[in-house]
Amino acid sequence: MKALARLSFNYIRRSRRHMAFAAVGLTAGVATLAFFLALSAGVRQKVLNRLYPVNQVEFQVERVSLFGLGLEVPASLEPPVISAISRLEGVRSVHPKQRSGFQARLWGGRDVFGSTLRVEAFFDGLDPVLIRDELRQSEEGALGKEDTGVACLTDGDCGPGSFCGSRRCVRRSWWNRFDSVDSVYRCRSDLACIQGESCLNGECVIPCDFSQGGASCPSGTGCRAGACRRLCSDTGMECRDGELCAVDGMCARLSCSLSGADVQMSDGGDQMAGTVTGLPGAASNRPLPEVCPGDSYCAVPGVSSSSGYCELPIPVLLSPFILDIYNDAAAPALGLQRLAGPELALGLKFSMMFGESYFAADLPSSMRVVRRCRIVGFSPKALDLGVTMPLIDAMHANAAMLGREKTSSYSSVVVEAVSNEDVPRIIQDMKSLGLVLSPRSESGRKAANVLMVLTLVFGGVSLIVLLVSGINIAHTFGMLVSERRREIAVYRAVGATLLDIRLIVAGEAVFLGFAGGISGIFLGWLASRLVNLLAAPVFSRIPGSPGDLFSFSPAILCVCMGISILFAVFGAWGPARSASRTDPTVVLSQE
Amino acid sequence: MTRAYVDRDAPGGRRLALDSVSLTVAHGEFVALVGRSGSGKTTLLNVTGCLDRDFSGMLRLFGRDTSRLGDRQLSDLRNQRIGFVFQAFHLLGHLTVFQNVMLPWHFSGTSRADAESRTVDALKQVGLPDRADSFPWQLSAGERQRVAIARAILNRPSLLLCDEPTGNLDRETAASVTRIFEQIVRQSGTSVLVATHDETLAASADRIVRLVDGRLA
Repeated sequence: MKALARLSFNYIRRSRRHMAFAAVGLTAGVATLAFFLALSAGVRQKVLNRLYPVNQVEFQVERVSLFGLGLEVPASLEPPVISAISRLEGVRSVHPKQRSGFQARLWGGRDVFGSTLRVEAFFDGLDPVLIRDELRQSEEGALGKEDTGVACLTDGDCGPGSFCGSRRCVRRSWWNRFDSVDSVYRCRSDLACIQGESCLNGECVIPCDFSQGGASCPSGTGCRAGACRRLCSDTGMECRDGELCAVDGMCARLSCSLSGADVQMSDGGDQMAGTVTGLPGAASNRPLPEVCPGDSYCAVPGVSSSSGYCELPIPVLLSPFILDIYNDAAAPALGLQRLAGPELALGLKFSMMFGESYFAADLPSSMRVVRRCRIVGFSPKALDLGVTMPLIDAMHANAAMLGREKTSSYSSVVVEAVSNEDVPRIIQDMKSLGLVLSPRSESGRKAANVLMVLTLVFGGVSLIVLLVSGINIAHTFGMLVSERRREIAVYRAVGATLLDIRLIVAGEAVFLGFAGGISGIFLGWLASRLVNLLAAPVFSRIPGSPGDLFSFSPAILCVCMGISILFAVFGAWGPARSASRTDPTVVLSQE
Repeated sequence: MTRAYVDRDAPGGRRLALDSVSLTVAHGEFVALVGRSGSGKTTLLNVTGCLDRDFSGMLRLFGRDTSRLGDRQLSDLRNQRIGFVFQAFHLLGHLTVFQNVMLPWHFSGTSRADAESRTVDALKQVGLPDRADSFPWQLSAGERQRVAIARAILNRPSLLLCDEPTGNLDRETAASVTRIFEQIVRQSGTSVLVATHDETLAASADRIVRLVDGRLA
């Protein structure tokens, strides 16, 4: 086979000009195909899938326009509806979302921006399960793998931002911090707590009956003083920063105090760590820390309070759209530093005041509360103009500020289908429940459909070009085979089989297809760079737009190469058969 | 062989070229086929070399009935046990002398190193060890025919079929080619069946077979 390939290659080299001519059509067809496949894949991956993967669709309550007013049709996204959705055929999982329903403002970021930013705050809550994988992937894309592969014995052997785990340096990750911190809010009755929680000693907790030994608590928790608490071992690893493992084997929050209530209005810093005052309702063998430990801060229940509990800042996600707006509009206008990449904002803490607004009237001071937040990731699924926090934390905040009844229904729901084919049926079923696609999902689906049609059209055009090039190859090879009758007859005389002759000609076609494929892909790639270059000025004005619209994945390259070789062999097959039918006795008897 | 035909694609249909020919060539025998043009010499060589299958009767080669062999086995026979030498040499112009002689190796499935060593031997045998890197167009007619002979004997065949091998050569060159055939028969024990008009070449053969209108005379 190798020897036959050598003969094929030898002939290709000898007939460069003819072959180059035959490869032109192939190159043009493959270039067109590669260009449009890469564009389609790029737009799908970098634009559509970043908003929502094909099998994830967001629904909201249908609004109808009546006399110019947007009215909701009688449907709601309450738990029974969510439960009904989860039972629909083709639905794998259901993830409700809830928006904030009250005024808020935030401030902070002096360390990163060079000045304290103060803006109106909007937020929504999202199920962490829905976004965890995406956060992990985008974080690894920006910061590298968590396991750095560097050997170590102590944390000192690893660089900043890493620690030594199992003798390997591990990068501290942010994506896994997007989980509920169960922030404590002051409550006077159960009505200020979410469904399933009760107000106990001014704190919303999952109630339990101690006499049943924690049997009514969720798994991983036990019952202490009528409330479910996380179970822990001697190491205390199960407890979060701001908690200690008490002697009863359950985590307990540290109480703390601030030097004054007005400290809350500062832009973070050490003052927010407060002073630890005790471990209420529990006892620990461990010494109490002086200040709220690790990442925790002293969260107090009101703007006039100075004592509360150590707790972690609420993890939040930002949309890359916000970063673009900041870099393109806010930073130049306000003379602030631009942020080169989203990763620079990871870990940034800021404060959020619930109940105060730059636009609307403030709530009474007794209802206002300050909470620290921390940016742990960026995602296109986050609120475009606002922040996104874990669903439970958003619901806690809504319940504390507006009451339980406001948390009983959700603003939208993300439905994950078992397969892409299930999505159209789910959309129909949801319509009968009075739910329609959210504008973002609707746009995504429309764009996906347009993209599919365009891909099909241009893919068809590419195939026609390739078909024509196949005919051109058939013509060229036919001519070349006719010119090579003597050579083929000599091959037969020295022992070539009919199959050998066909393989030699087909081998030449494979070489040609390979060369046409490589040059076509290269040409398609060049065209994509050109389009990116031309589009750059336009895209730079659109926040959140990707820098590169194309995705030349290995699969696309393989498909293009395969099709190029296939069409070349298809074109050469007739001439190859004709070559094998050359009668050596006739040709060799000629002088 | 009872019948063999030529001009199969001619407008008037195929023409009978050989009729009731019975010929045995012994191991190491040098046989000259003589006869007028069109008497069937080339057809007999093509049929014997398994290039032409349009015949009736039986062809036994090396003790095997070739009618039962398929394309692969016949090609193997041509590659391993039969060598062809043509009047027009039929060297490939884009290949060097060395590459031309090595051509049968591409279809043999043997190792390249072994083929290269055989090529060197074959070129020595025909007296052209120094022309390995030349191209056919740089050689004289006699040298080209010697290269063609080297290609034919690369795989040390048992039978060499030569169609007017001296037809395009002057007398002196033809004599040197004739000596090469004699040497091949003597040294390698190869049987040689040569169709020729060259009386000197025919005279050097062990046996002369005459064909008249497709029949043995």
